[in-house]
Amino acid sequence: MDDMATMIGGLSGFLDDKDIVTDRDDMAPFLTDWRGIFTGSAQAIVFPRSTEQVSALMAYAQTHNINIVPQGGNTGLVGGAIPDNTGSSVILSLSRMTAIRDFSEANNSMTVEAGCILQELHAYAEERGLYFPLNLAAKGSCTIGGNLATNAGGVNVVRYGNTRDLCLGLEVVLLDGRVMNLLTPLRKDNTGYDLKNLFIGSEGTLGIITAASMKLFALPKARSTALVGVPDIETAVTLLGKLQAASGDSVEAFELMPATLLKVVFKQFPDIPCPLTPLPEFMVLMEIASTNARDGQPNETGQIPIAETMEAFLADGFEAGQISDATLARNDIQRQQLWDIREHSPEATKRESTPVNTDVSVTRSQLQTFYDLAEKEVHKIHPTARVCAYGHLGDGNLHFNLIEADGGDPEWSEKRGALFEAIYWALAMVDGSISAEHGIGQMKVEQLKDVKDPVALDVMTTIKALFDPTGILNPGKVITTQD
Amino acid sequence: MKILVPVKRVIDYNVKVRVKPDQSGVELANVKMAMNPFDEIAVEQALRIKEAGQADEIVLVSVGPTQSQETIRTGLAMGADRGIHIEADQETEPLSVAKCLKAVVEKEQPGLVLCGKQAIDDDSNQTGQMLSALLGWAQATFASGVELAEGTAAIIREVDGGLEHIAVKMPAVITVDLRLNEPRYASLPNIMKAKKKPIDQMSAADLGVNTTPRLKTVKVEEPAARQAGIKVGSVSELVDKLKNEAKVI
Ligand SMILES: Cc1cc2nc3c(=O)[nH]c(=O)nc-3n(C[C@H](O)[C@H](O)[C@H](O)COP(=O)(O)OP(=O)(O)OC[C@H]3O[C@@H](n4cnc5c(N)ncnc54)[C@H](O)[C@@H]3O)c2cc1C
Ligand SMILES: Cc1cc2nc3c(=O)[nH]c(=O)nc-3n(C[C@H](O)[C@H](O)[C@H](O)COP(=O)(O)OP(=O)(O)OC[C@H]3O[C@@H](n4cnc5c(N)ncnc54)[C@H](O)[C@@H]3O)c2cc1C
Repeated sequence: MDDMATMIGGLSGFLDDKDIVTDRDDMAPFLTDWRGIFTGSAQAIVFPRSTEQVSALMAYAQTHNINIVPQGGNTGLVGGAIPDNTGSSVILSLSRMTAIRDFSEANNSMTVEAGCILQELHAYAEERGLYFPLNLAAKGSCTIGGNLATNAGGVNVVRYGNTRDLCLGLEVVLLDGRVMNLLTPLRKDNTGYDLKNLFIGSEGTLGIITAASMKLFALPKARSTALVGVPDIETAVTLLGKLQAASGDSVEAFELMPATLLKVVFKQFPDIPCPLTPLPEFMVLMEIASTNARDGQPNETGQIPIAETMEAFLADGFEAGQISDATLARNDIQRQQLWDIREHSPEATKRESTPVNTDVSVTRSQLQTFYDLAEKEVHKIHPTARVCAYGHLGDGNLHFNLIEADGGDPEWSEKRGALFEAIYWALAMVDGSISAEHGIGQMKVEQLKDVKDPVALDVMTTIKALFDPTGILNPGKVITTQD
Repeated sequence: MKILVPVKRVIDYNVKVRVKPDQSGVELANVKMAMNPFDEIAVEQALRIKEAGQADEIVLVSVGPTQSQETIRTGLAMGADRGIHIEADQETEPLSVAKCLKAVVEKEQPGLVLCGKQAIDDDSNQTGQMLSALLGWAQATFASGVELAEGTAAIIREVDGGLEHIAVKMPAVITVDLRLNEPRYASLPNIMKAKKKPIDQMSAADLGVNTTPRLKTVKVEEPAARQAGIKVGSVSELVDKLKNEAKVI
C-alpha cells in the first residue's frame, strides 16, 4: 500500500474535499458499532455522491491495494461495517447517495440509491399512497443499502418476507470499477443466473450496492394492535396460525416479549406505560392490517370490522385457555406506546447490562423445544442469568438474549463465553441457524466455519475469490480467504 | 354518587389532518377517529374515583353521529357502566352540547360531571363552562389534581405561575387537563363485557334542544408551509443573512 499522504491525495482527484474525512474525532462515530463491541481504525472515510465516483474509488482501491469497508448507517449488529485495527482501510460510506431515481405507482416499485434512510423511504412512499413494508427498530438510521447487504428482516417479515423478497433489481459496483447494471424493476426476469441475490446478504464482501429497485405495496389503512399474554411459546405459535386464518392472512407483526424484558424496558424508560397488570410471563405484540379503509370505520352496528376480527380471535383464545390476558390499542397513541416497548427493547437491555446477544432461528414447531433446552443449559451454568428472549416469533427468529441479575453480577463477564456456548449447543440440537437476520460480519466468522455445510463453505470461498481475488473488500468479514 | 362523563368523537390525535379542497372544513371521510384524549382522561379519573369507593356509577354521554356509539363503547371497555347516545348529525357546537348535557343531568341527577378541558378538533374549551352556568353549578377548569371530600372537591390547576389549589362545592363540573392521569388500557375481559353494556339512544330534539349551528365557518386553510432550512458556509454569511434577508438583527 502507498503511504497515506499519497493515497489521500489520490482520493481527492475524484472526490470533493468535503466528501473525504480524515480527522480522528470526525471519524470516531464511524469506527465503533452501535453496541460498542467493535472498534477499528481507518485512514479515511469517503462519501461518494454518485455511482461514477464509487466506480472510480473502487478501481483506485484495487490498483493501490487499499482495503475498502462499505458502510451505510452503521447500525449493523455483527461488526460488518467496522474495519479491523490495522489502520489500512478506507471506509466507503454510501450515506450521501440518497437520490430517489424512480417511483412508479403502476409498477408498485421505486428505484433508490443505497444511502436512503429506511424511515425516509417509508415516508416517501406513504406520501404517494403506497407502502414499503421493511421495518426495524433501526429505521431512523439504517440505509436501504445496508438492509440489502445484510438481507435485514425486521418486524414485518411474517407477511412481506425479508429484504431479499422485496428487491427487484440492483446496481452493483465491482472491485475493478465496473458497474453491473441489474437495476430492473421487472417483476419477472429469468435471464440466466440471478446475480442480485448473490449480493443481497453478502455484507459488503463482494461489491458495493449503489442503488436498488424495491417492491411497493398497497398502504394499510386500518390496523388492530394487541398485546396478548400467553402461557408459553408453543401456544403463541398455535395462535399465530389461528390469527392468520381469522384475518385473511393479514398478520403484519407477531413479536414475542417476555415479562423479564418488559420490566427492563419500563425501568430504563419510565415514560412508557405498562399495559397489562400483572404482567404475564410471555406476551405477544400482534398486529393485523387491512388496506381497505372501511375496515377501520364503524359499520352499521357501530363496530370497527378489523377490531371485531381481533376481538373475536382474542375471545376465542381466552375461552380456550390459550390467552391469559390481553389489551387492544384503542387509538394510535396507544398503538405507538405498545410498539415503543418493542422498539426500545434493544436499547433497554443494552442500558441494563452487557447482554449476551444472539439472533437465532429455528422452525416454528421447534421454538418451544429450543427455548426450554437453552434456558435449562443457561441456568445450569449460571442460575442468576435473566433470560430475555424476544423477537420475531412469526419467523421462528428469537433474540435469545441474557442479561445479568438485577443489581449487577461480578461474575458476568467471566461467564459470558460459556453462556453463549450453552445457547448454541441448544441451537445445534434443533438444527437452527446462528444468524437469522443480522449476518456474520466479523462476529461469527469462526463459528460459521463450524456450522456451515463444508461444500457450501467451499463454494462461498470460490465466489469470494472471483469478485475479490486480493481480499481487500471488507476483509475479515463473513469468510476469511486465507487459512 | 353517579358521575357523568361527556365523550366526543374526534379525529385520532396521530392522524395528519387534511383540509378539504373546497376549504369548507377538514377531510373526515375514512379518517381514523378516536375518543377526544382529554375525555379519556376524564373517564380515567371517574374510574379512579369509583375504584376509591367515592362513586357507584359512571355514565358516558356522547352527542354526535351514529358512530359516536363506538366512542362510548371505547369508554365502556375502560370500565364505565353505561352510555347515552344523543344523535346529532350536524356539527355540534359547545352551546347546543351543553344544553343537551344539561337535560341529561336533570334526568340522571349525577353528583359530578367530569369533562375534558377541550376537544382537540375545534379547541373550543367552552362546553364544561357553559354547562356549569346553565346548571348553576360550581366549576373547576383545567384540573390536574382532583380530590373528593364530603360535599366538596379539592382541585389543583396548572396556571402560569405554578399550581393553584381551589375548593369547589359539589355538585360541580370539573374539566380535566393533560397531566391529571395516564388513561388505562382496556383489558380483554372488559372489552368483552363492554359489548353487553347498555347504550340509551335519543335525539337532541327528544331533549328539546335545537342543534342548528349558530356559527358559520367561512373558510378553513392549511397553515403556511414552513420553508426548508439552509446550511450557511460561514459565520459571516450567517450574520449577513440574519441582517439582510431575515432582518432580525
Ligand atoms: C402448456 C405449457 C404451459 C406453460 N406455462 C408456463 C407458465 O405459465 N409459466 C412458466 O414459467 N412456464 C410455463 N411453461 C414452461 C415451463 O418452463 C415448464 O413447463 C416447466 O417449468 C418446466 O418443467 P419440466 O419439468 O418440464 O422441465 P424440462 O422442460 O424438462 O426442463 C427445463 C429446463 O430445466 C432443466 N432441468 C429440468 N429438471 C432439472 C433438474 N432437476 N435439475 C437441473 N436442471 C433441470 C433442463 O435441463 C432444462 O434446461 C409452460 C410450458 C408448457 C408446455
Ligand atoms: C436498534 C436496532 C434494531 C435492529 N433490528 C433489526 C431487525 O429487526 N432485523 C434485522 O435484520 N436487523 C436489525 N438490526 C441490524 C440490521 O442489520 C441493521 O440495522 C441494518 O440492516 C443495517 O443497515 P446499515 O445501513 O446500518 O448498515 P451498516 O451497519 O452500515 O452495514 C451493515 C453491513 O452491510 C455492509 N454494507 C452497508 N452498506 C452497503 C452497501 N451499500 N453495499 C455493500 N455493502 C454494504 C457493511 O459493510 C456491513 O457489512 C437492528 C439494529 C439496531 C441498531
